[in-house]
Amino acid sequence: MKFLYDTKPIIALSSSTLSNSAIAVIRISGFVELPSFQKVFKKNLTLVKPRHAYFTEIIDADSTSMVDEVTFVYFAAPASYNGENILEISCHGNQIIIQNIINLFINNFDIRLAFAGEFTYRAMVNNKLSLTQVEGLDLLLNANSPQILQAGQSSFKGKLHESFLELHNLLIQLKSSIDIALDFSEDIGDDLSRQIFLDSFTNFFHASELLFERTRNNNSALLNPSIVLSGQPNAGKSTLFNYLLTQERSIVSNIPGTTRDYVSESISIEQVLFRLIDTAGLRETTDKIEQVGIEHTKKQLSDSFFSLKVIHYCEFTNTFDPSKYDLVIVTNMDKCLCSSSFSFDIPNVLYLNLCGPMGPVLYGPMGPVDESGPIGPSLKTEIYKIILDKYKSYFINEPIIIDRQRFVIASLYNYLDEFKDDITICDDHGILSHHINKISLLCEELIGIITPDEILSSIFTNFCIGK
Amino acid sequence: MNSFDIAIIGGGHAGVEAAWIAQSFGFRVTLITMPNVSIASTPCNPSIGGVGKGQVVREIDALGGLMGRVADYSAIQCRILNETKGPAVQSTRYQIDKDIYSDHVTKLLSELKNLDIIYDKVIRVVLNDEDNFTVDCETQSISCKKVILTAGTFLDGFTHVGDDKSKGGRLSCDRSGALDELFEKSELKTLRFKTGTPARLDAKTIDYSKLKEQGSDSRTQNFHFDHETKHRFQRQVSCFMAYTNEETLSIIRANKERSPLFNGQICGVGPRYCPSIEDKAFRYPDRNIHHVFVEPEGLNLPTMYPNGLSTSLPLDIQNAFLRSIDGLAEVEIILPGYAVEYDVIETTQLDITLALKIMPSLYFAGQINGTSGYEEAAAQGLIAGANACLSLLSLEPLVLDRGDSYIGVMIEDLVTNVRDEPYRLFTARSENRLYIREDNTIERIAPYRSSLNLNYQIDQYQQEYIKEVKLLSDILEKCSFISSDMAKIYKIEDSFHSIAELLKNPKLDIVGFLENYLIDNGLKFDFRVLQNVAINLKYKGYITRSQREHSKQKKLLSKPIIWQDLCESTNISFECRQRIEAIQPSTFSQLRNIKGIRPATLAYVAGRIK
Repeated sequence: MKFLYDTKPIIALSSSTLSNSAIAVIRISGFVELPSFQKVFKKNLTLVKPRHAYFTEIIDADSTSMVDEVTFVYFAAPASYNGENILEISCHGNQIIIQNIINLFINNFDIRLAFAGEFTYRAMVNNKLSLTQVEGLDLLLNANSPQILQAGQSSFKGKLHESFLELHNLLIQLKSSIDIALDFSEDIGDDLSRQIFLDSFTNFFHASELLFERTRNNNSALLNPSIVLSGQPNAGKSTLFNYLLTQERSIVSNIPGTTRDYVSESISIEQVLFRLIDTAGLRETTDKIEQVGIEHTKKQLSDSFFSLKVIHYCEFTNTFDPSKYDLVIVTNMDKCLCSSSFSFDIPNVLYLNLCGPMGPVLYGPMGPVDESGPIGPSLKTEIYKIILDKYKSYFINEPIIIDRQRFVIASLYNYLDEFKDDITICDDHGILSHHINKISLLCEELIGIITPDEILSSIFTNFCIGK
Repeated sequence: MNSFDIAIIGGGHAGVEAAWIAQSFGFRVTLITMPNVSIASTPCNPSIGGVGKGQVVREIDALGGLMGRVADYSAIQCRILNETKGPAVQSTRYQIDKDIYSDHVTKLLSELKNLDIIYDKVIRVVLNDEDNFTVDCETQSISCKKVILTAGTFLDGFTHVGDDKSKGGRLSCDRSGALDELFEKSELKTLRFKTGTPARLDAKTIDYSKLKEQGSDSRTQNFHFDHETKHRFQRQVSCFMAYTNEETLSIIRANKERSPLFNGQICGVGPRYCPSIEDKAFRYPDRNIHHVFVEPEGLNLPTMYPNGLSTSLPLDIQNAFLRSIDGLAEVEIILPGYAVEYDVIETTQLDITLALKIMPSLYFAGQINGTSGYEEAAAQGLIAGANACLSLLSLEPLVLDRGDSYIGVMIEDLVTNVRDEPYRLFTARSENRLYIREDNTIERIAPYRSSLNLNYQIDQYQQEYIKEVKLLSDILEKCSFISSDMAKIYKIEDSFHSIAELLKNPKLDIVGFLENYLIDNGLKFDFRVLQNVAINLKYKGYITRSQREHSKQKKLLSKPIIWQDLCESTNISFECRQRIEAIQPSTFSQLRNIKGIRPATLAYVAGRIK
């Protein structure tokens, strides 16, 4: 968080376009009263009701000439996006008009341009959005796939937000259970309060475990998924790369080591944006530049979302382990004279001819990209399907992909895991209380501070207390 | 006109503690108390101590207060609460004889030559000048420099028994006027609270054979430092346990419209942790069985106190529902249960010394501050009394940290937030249960007591105590020899670095072991020191770990802030500035505890603290 912001009213263009468009939305936030803007509006602003749309003219206060015809909506605090008074002006989307209107407000009133994200920052400051929601919003606005978009929505309003609220409630119950055992054992009884504690702990642990499960993906792989092609020099990676891109990109030749560094291109598969990376062939080399390329390759491989191994059929021996890759493509099958000796039922292995229209293959021949060449469209579809299936499988469990949340959840889970046995067998409530305090501190970053008054309130609401 | 340094108005637990500590500074003190209301009476339950409260009584004793020694002297049944839950969270509770308690306080106070007790009703308090008050009573006026107001439930008090509503701070007692009658043109903000008490039962009309008996626990350790730890001054008696049943609750439920709590007659806010039986009946419609602890009010008093049956229903209904309880079929009521409504002040108008911000020579302590409980009241009286004296001496005020005392927790909670119900201490309110224990009270409080610069027996005792704690801890950290007899008894193997390390074993009875170990080695230490050191060592790892974790935060929390500067800052929202101005926090911790302070404000302030 940055804390450099003041609380002055701010203005910004909220619909982002750098070119002209039919409509643009300008937002002003944090002013005291709407009628203070009267001198630039034709409409009598004292008559404006919140949440109603009005059509009017914006006029230059000095020359009284019209700047633009606009529609505007006023949202009164605190019932607005960020809890402040907000004015949304929809004007014609011409860059000159937009600039004129913004300048008009800045010159005539005590308003400054908003910093990037400042509207939302204020929403968080005013408790309109939690930190986890703001993080969700960030995903929502910058998602590069429908799945990430959904993850953003989930964190913003949906299931992830609910999971955190649930964790919050379970933590209140857990903290309450210790206080019940200590402060109210005469009311509740020792056996029951012990049971309440164990139940609360089990529930809390279970919820944390579920959250932790949802962090066990590689988030960089999800936020910026890459498909990495690797394999021995001259196995045909670049050919495949170009084929998948349907364009000439890598320099293809039959000299091993042609691709010295990795080449990266974006491809979109069913709206999911992937980086397709053709890596330098891995081999021992004395060429300095090629060595650097190999280092890059190794890095790419370890960070990759989808690893695609391209292998010459000659290398495809018993010592090769296909399970280390998401997909193995065995090439040059047309040159293989004893293809019948291959078992074709390994699930993540495809076999193809790479150079030429010969031999027994599964998906038909494939050669270097050639508009008239014999390219099997079904192969591309099949590879895409395998990639996309993997991608979608990551989202079945609603993964948590924001780093900060993942870190907090991991440290919470690790603590619980380490002390789980201690906690469930310990009858020294001083020590239990110490552990629960620590757990509570760990959660604070995720769900906010829980005060003793909240805990006591929860106890008084749920249990009959008082001798 | 008599003149005094300090006048204390109200002779309850807050008032007597304030008077006791103030006279110990050598000031001329008067305690003005209502005629016909006994001093330090216990008008509700007959017990002192309890979870969290036991710690407070020990803290009061370690600060040189009165409550601990009187509770020891008048104890007639003693209990250790939470005993099975580890040494850190144990608390002591005494049932006390109400008459002996009150008489003993009266006797101790009347022996003091610096203290005059005036039995009169205060009509008006006028501030003439800084540190110059005139206090007008019905029959006389006095002048003084500081006033401590400890009026309890007497400010504009009303009692309720069914539809019988009468003026009074307690049943059949007088009351005092509202604050604006006492202080002309006072603009103090007040709230209306309510509390209640059960009927007092004729002890002779109860069939004890049908109740479960609970005897006194002889192992309970006295509160006062100068009393032998397990010595009892009075004959010990039992408490008894009864249960409500379906009939009890249906009688109450059938008479909802006759309950002042539910028919609109009472509008004050009552404590949720101490609900009346009507509250329980309507809030938990499915529950009919509730505990009732039948507790003696004194060795020679004819009454029993049925704890758990607080009520303001009409007398005939009280009779009916009481008699439905097994063992109480023939019971006679000596005094009906009743509710009392009274004025309390919004404590955010007080500073951390309990002085009124706009009139710093006037202090408030006790139930008038919206707390409930004798122990909470006594602690505030002591703090207000000591601070009035320190202010007269122009010395640093006495401010206990919430990190090392329940008194500190309570006072900070009071002055930083407006309470919406009577405030009681719970251990849940502390962040530091493992450290704020009963056994180490003297170790925690001695630095505060010594800052008062007094020289009594207690001060010498505490100096000695602290030295012994250090010495014994040192011995145990360094010593690694253990006799073969001890090793055999406690099944200890040779491989350990020090006795201190042995004490971390969760299965070991550490206090018993240490006692034997010292005897074995011909060493003698005070039992309190021994216990304190043993438990310190048991939790040492946890405490240092959590203190390390909190130290950075703590450092920040204790940093002073200048609220006036914050109120002028344009970087803090208007709303926050208003709240800051109302509370006037002096540390970051107090700022953080203000309700509704925005995270951005905290971050802004934190970023600027050096």
